[in-house]
Amino acid sequence: MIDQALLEKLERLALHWNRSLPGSIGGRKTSRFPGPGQEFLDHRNFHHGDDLRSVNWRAYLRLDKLFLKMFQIEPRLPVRFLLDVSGSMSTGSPAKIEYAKRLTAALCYIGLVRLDAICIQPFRESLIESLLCGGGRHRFQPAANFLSSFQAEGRTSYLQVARQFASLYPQRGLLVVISDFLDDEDASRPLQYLAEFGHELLLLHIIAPEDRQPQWDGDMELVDSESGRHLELSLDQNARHAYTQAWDAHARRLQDLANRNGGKYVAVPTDTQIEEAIFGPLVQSGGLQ
Amino acid sequence: MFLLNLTAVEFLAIFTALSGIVVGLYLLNRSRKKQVVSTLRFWTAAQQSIATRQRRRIQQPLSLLLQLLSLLLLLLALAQLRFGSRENSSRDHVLLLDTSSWMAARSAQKTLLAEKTLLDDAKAKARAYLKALPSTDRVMLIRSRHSPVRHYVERDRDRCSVPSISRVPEPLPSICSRPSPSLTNPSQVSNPGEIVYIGTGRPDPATQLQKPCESCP
Repeated sequence: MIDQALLEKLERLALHWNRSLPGSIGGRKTSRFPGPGQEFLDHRNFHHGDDLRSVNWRAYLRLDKLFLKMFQIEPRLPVRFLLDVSGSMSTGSPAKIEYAKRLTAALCYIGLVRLDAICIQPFRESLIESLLCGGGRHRFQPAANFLSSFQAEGRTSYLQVARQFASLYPQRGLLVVISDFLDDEDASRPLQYLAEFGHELLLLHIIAPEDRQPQWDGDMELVDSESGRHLELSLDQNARHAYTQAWDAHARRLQDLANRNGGKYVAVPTDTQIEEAIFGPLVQSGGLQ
Repeated sequence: MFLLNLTAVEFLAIFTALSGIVVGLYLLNRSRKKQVVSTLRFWTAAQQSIATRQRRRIQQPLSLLLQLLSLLLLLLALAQLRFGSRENSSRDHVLLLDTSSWMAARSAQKTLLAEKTLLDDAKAKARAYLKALPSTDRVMLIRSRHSPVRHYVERDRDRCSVPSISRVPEPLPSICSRPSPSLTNPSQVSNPGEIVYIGTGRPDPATQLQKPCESCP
């Protein structure tokens, strides 16, 4: 799925998130939240129920007041890849699903090298079978095999997926959504729901060239790849321009949503090489360092 | 201006029929191209922008016109368009029939009734040639003798000149290797056509074949 030369280049990258989220120990980014760590952070007043082992007894002897020591932690956050494998991802040349799978595999490898806890969660109309992996680059091959097994089929329902995701994964973390965000309903509300739940969003918008700027002309019968609905149109330059404007408005809404909630939005055209996409827009957006 | 092979009515009828087929195929070939897309959401905005415009009947009129024009030119070529009047458009042909003694040889074709000679074959070929000519053309039949004998063949539209050819006598001593100057003088021919020779092509070995005239091609 990914050649060895690219894997070697990916080892110097790391997934980046801005928020300080609580998590278990073993991570690599310092959190502003205190926890059971090794490096001293600060003191606070002792409250009923606090752990007595964390009381600074020297300060108590001097001041006759109980103070609790707080320590800095580097939480190990879960990194979850929400991969769209619905029917709309089958369009394009190359198909968007193939590009999305390769991109997911590359990001998964980056997380595994940094010992992040990776969860690959494909979805269509609902969440389907997921894969948990972590603990080093030697766990990459099972993840790649898992990604290769999926085909683009079925319909999409972001609202249902968001509800299921929030109930299935209560722990907040970095949520990387890899999709074309082409739902019959608006995808903004479910994504806003996930952002308000506490996840940090990294939206990777997979774009086929004909998704934004179709080059078709004349009398066309358009068929929806998911629902199978037909639409008869006579296309000309004005019609294509109106379509592109509507599509751009949709992309802007997604970008505004990500920025508004402290996340990131990256548009990834499928005619861009994976390496260029990772070392270009993804690194520039701050999603990778 | 007139058409050699068709009448005006026939030409118009054929052109109308073929044009109708071409235009019908052109209009019927309007099947919409099918294209699978990721979503139809954004196409509704495009649909609104084109809702007021009617679907054009013919999208590439120039292509249709060029097809009809090429069809017209092809039909004109088949009908053999001629300028001038039909009465002045006939051509004069010369049919040179070899009646030398070579033609008494037995023919390779055999019939049940009698053995055929080369002269019989030549006559049959001459009749076939006369049948193929347009009815307005004139033919001068020349029987090759020591001095050639000329016959102007009167051709009816429905009959070829069977009597003229049938009256050709049996083979004579030799073919005339020096045709008469008046026969081959192009200035005597109003509208030159073809010179057709039917025979064995074996002159007297003692004589030399000469070019019919200096100005002949």
